[in-house]
Order: sequence, then structure tokens, then C-alpha cells
Amino acid sequence: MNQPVSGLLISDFTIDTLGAFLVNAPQQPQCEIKTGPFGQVIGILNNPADSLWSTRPDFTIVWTQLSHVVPSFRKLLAFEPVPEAQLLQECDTFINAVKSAAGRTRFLFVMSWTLPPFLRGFGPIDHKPGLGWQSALLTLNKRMADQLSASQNIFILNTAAWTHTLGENAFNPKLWYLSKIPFDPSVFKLAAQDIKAAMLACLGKSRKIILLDLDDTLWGGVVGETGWQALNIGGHNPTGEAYADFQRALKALKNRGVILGIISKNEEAVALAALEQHPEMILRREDFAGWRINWQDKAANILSLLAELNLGVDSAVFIDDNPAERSRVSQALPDVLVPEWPAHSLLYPKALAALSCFDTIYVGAEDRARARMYATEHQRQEIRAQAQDINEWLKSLNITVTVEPLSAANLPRAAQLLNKTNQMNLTTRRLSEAEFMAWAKEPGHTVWTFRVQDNLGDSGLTGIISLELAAKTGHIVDLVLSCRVFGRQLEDLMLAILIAHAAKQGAETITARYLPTEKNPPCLEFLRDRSGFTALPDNLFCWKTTQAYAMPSMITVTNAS
Amino acid sequence: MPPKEKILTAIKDAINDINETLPRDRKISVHNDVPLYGPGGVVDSLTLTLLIVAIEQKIEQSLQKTVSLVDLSIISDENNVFKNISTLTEHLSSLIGQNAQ
Repeated sequence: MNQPVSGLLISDFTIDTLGAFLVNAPQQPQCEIKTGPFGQVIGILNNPADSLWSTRPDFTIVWTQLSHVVPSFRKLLAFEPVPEAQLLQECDTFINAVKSAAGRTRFLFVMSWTLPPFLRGFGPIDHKPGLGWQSALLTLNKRMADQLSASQNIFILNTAAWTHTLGENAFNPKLWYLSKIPFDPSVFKLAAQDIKAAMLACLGKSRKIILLDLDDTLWGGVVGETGWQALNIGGHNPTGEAYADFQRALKALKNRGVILGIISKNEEAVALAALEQHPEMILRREDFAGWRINWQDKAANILSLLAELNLGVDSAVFIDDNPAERSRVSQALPDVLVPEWPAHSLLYPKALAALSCFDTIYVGAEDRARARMYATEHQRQEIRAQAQDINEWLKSLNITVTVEPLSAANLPRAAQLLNKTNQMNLTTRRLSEAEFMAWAKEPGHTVWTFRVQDNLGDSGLTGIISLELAAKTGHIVDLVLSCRVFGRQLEDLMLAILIAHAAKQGAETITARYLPTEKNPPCLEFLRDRSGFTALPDNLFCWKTTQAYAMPSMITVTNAS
Repeated sequence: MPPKEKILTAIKDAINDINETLPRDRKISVHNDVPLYGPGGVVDSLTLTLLIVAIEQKIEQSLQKTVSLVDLSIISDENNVFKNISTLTEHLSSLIGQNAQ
């Protein structure tokens, strides 16, 4: 990621230290930061003409103290009674200001409110509704979360996670009185890490797959030496319980769409037998999208498995208890994330839970079903290997595609696909949900989404094509297809539908300009070698609508508009 | 480790922490005689605040001594103990010595 992202910090305290960490920390993405004047939060949020908004920031941070944005909370701190309605009304004033600013930035992050642990309030009755500080804190944070939940580009980051990590040192009264900085710099350091992780998620750069070693990583012991019966997993001992919890945590990640794979130096049959037969094993063979279990170099095996699964190296995380293997993979494949791993297996579940690289801004049905989709893809490829030609294979799959225009219902998944797809992607355009919908609503613009099903399962919404129509020329702006369904003539179907629509609207020429990236040569190869489009200079491709684009005969289309 | 060396280490550790927030061209040198704050110094007032608090914390951690550097009189032109690491080390040695008496 070469281009730095621009950020705007708005706060009612001195927030320069956060800006410094965002700019100077080595983690991606690199940031360029502007900071709003101290203590003018509502004014800046409510003023679209403020010069801070003149160059639309990629992200905006709004970090406030509760007693500043909800003045009545100060009365509560003085143990004066305050009606909850009053607190909520003042809270809503702040929330409405945040909402009003959301259109001026691509992504807006609001930090949740927290209180220093040394503010004891009423002690044991401090959670009593209508009375205690902690009760009001919970109510107001919940109010903010509820009121902002419908916004497509506003996300709340958890301040308490950073302050809890640092305990009593998180809040520093000296810094407050000296410079109006409420937190220790370490809080800002943790916040910067989470903001960067959130931005990567917004930009579709979350990691997609965990590649796991087996012996002493997924289970205790060496299966090749002891047999699966003697492996330590589950049972009633600390190590076995920790390995079981580690596997449960991996399964939980799988349930929300993270793919699991195995990279292990073992005999394949012996290792797979352990997954299938050990009674306490949480993860089973079918939980893994693929594996390389052999005695080859692990870096080479990772490349091979990722190629099979159509995933890039920058989508992978490699977990191995052996520092030498971690070092080898880090050096050979620097784009693979290789987290430092604790020496003691009791700490594995915590180390996994702490990884921020799987942070996401959307989880849909396609994510939850992703692991099963990879399993069915194995079956498809087995059928493909047995079929005489591609047509026989496609016929046997009985593919059905549902075509729908972009709508509020499919927008979250469509935006996710647009932002995460790298290979079959014409322009690699990255847009937030709000930006994508706004673009689709402009005159002459049309976006279609494609849901793909076949005999073996539902691949979900896996394709997008968009058209910009002006006079007698239609321009294809996006041609996006998930690698999971690429190569089944769906790309031809998408072009056929777009061209037929554009021709009906009077377009005589359809153009597509390929914008090259490191990862999207498959799109170029399709356009140049298989689409039938005429190649022109500067990666421009052209089709004359006097000729219809052939609809693939092996695909059934429903709901085509 | 003698107290003075511990103080020096605490100061340098604090500077290293603060350097994480500074761009490459503004990082604070950990050489003893490089100007810190005041004429020729690289530390601005906000960074000085962060540095003061960080040094106090490091001293407390390594020497189990509570010291306070929040004192305008020690930042004045005539008596600037933050002139460089050497002057700061001397001041802290003196403070800790007084506290010990």
C-alpha cells in the first residue's frame, strides 16, 4: 500500500500524541494527519464550510470526554441528580453532529467514552440506573452505538480496551493538568494500532486465511512419533484445555469467514487421521479449506496452497510454534503476517484473540458460509478433472445466477466484494458503502450484482458490474468477480447482460479501461484473450453493440433486469 | 548499577519512548551533551511535558523513588535543568540525594 491515507483528528483534549503515533508508527496504512483546534468538536462537526473538511479526509477520528459533550454528566459527577432524559438529549446533540459530518469523510471513527478507574462514584451502587456514574456511562455509550448503528461509514472504537490494557497507568492526571492530555501516551499508541487495523478493514485489507502448523501448535505433541491417541488436546489438564480453547477460537474465526489451512511437516495420512479420529479434536478435516502436509519447505507450501485457493500472500497469517519456521516464512514471504508466538501453549488462545488483522466492518451470509464454499469448491474441481471439457463440467454444475441492481439490501456485501477483490477486478476501485450507492444513483449509472448457485451450493453475491452511459457510449467502470467463481463463464454472462442493457439504451459502443495493479492480470487476460473485445492502446477495450455478446448457454439467469 | 547510571538509563529509556511519537528528523538524541530544551534544543513544550512525565515514571520504576520535575523554576533560562541529558542527570541525582537524606 503506497498511498498514505489522510486523517482528521477532532477532540476536546490535546490529541497530538495520537496523530504522532499514526504518522510515525511503521504499521500500514501510512497516515497524513490534520488536527482540529482544541475543544471545538461540535462546531467543527456541524460546519461543512470549515477548512478542515476542504480536502475530504479518508478517515476522521472524533474522541471526546463525556463530561464535555454531555455537560449534565458533570452534575452527575458532583453527585447532583440529573434526569436521564436530559443526559440523552445532550448526548443526541453530539450524535447528530457526528452524523452530520459523516458525509464529509470516507470513514468516521468515534471513540467510546470511559472513566478512570480511580473515579469510584457511589461504589457498590454506582451501576444503579439514574444514579451512578457507571450506569450513565453504559447508557450513553449504548445510546451512541444505537443511534450510529445505521450509518454506513461510522464505526465506534473501544477506548476501554486500551485503558484496561494499561490499567491504572492509562489515565495520567499530571499530563492532564500540564497539557490537557487525559491519557498516558501508551493509550494513544494502542489506539493508533487499532485505528490502523480498522482502516485496513475499511479498505478491504483484512487478512483472510490462517495457515497453521500442527504439532505443538494445533495440538500438544508430535503425531508422527506418538500417534494421534497420545496427542494432548482437551481432557482435564491445563495444556490440553488450552489447545482445545485455541481450536475453539480458530473455529469461531472460521464461523465469521476466516479461512483455515494447514502447513505442516508431517505424513499427510497420519496428520489427517488425527483430525478425523481424535475424540477431543475441535477442528476436523472439513474445517480446513486446504492443506500442504509434507516434508517440503513451508514457504513454498504456503505459496502453493494460496495459489490453489486463489488467495494472495498478503491475505495470509502463518502460525507456527517453531521460531525457525516463522523466521523462514517471514524472510521468504514478507507479505505473509507471521505473528510472534508465545513460547507457552497456555497463552495461544490469548495470542490469537489479540490479533487485529481480522478486524472487519461487515459480516454477512457469504462470510459465515465461506469455509463451506471452499469445501464445495474442492468437489467442483474434482468433477472438473473428470469432465471431458468445460461445457460438460458447467452443465453438470447446473449454475443459476440471480441478477439484481444494487440496493440497500445487497449494498453491504457488494461494497465488501468491491473493496476486497483484487484479481478479477477491472479498475480496483475502492468505495465505502455510502460512496458506492451515491455513485450508482447518479444519472446514467447502473450497477448489477450477481448471486451464484449450483448443484453443490450457494456461492452468494460474488459478482458486480457497473455501467456509465453517456450519449452513445457505455463505459464499464467495475467488473468484479470473486476468485471463488472465476472461470465458470460468469464473466461472460456479466458482460452479456451489461451490453444487452446498454444497447437497449442506445449505446453503440461499450468500452472498458483496464487499470493494472500487481494482482489483477487475470482480468487483463480475460479481456484480451477471451472476451472478444477489441484491444485499443492504453489498456482500452471496445465492443460494438451491433453484435450481441453471447450469453453462456450453460448458465440459467433469474431476475435479470 | 550505581544510582547515577540508573538515572541516566531512565532518562534515555524515556527519550526512546518519546521518540516513538516523533518523526525521523525530530527524534531526540540520547547523547549526553546534545541540547534538549531551550536554545538549540529539539524538544518543544508539548514534548517536554511528555518527557517530564515519562522520566518521572522511569525513575520510579528503576529506583523506586518519587521525583517531581514539574517545576517552572527548573525550566527557566537561568536554571534550565533540561538543557541536556547531563544537566538533567545532575539535577535528578541531586533531587534523589536530597530525598534520601
